[in-house]
Amino acid sequence: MKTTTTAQRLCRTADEQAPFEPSEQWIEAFEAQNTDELRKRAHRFARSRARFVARAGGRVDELYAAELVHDVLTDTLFGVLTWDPAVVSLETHLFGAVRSRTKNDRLRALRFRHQSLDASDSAAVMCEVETSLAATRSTPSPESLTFSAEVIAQLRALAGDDVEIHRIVDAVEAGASAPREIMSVGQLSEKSWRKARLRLARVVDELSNHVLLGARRHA
Amino acid sequence: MTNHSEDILDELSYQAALAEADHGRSTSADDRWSRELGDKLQARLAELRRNLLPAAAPIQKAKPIRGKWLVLTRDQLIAKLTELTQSMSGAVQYAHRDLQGLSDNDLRQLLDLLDTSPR
Repeated sequence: MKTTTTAQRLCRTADEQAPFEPSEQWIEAFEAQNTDELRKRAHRFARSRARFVARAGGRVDELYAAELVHDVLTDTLFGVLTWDPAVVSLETHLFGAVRSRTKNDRLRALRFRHQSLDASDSAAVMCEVETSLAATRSTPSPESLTFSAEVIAQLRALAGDDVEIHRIVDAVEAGASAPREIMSVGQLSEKSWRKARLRLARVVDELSNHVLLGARRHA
Repeated sequence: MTNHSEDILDELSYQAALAEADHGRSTSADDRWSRELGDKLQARLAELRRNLLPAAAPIQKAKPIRGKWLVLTRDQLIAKLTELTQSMSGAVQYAHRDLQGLSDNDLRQLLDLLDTSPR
């Protein structure tokens, strides 16, 4: 999936943008899948990811999650983001793009804590940040690796003796990502995987205060 | 370790977010926001559909009617039209079944349109 951040869009020149003219089938697929339920699910998903950005020191206000969902859907309708209905569902596309953008926002927050990240920032600053981020995206800084390693250690500590959460973390550390992979590597049944994922979500939520305290310690 | 810690944390946060999408609750404000966004997206979909329609054909300026049709009366125009369509034996068709509904000028324009002789 191709995703483009706001800064990348700002860095583009007008000549690069061709008019977006999807087929009737594409429009029908978008219309059928863009339900009220999908938007609300995506909003809950984005709200959870927003906390992930905030934990890294990113400036996240109460509109951040709603704007993420709004931006991904409108960017798709304007052709800024490419969606092929024959390949993935609109939900997979939407969640994937929200994940990608929040991950970028988190990395940006870790690298540029001194920079403001509002959409109202000048294009030049955003381009500079984006270019710098793109150049180093594949190799996170030692500081951010240390920070995230500490967060994972805190997550494990918060999970206590919940063996199934530890198995999920172990599976992800071993490279599993799709639910089937995590279940297989973590030796979890589908039922216990679903229940453990819910408990994991609660532990991830609890992280915020612990991590902020940890981050202050490093500052 | 296969993944580096940043990727692991991202994946764990992703799984937590999926759980929240599945089991979290939405407020009435979220419902309102979702409906408003839906309306906005619907407007854009309508715009995309309009863009699929063919562009309007350019309006052509009518050519002046030949002088020989201008001198004919209404009855003569209808007779000429009948004669012309019969002589072309079905090769010509026009939308008006009842020529009485057309003005004299419409009849002249129709005749002029069917007329293949040089101007």
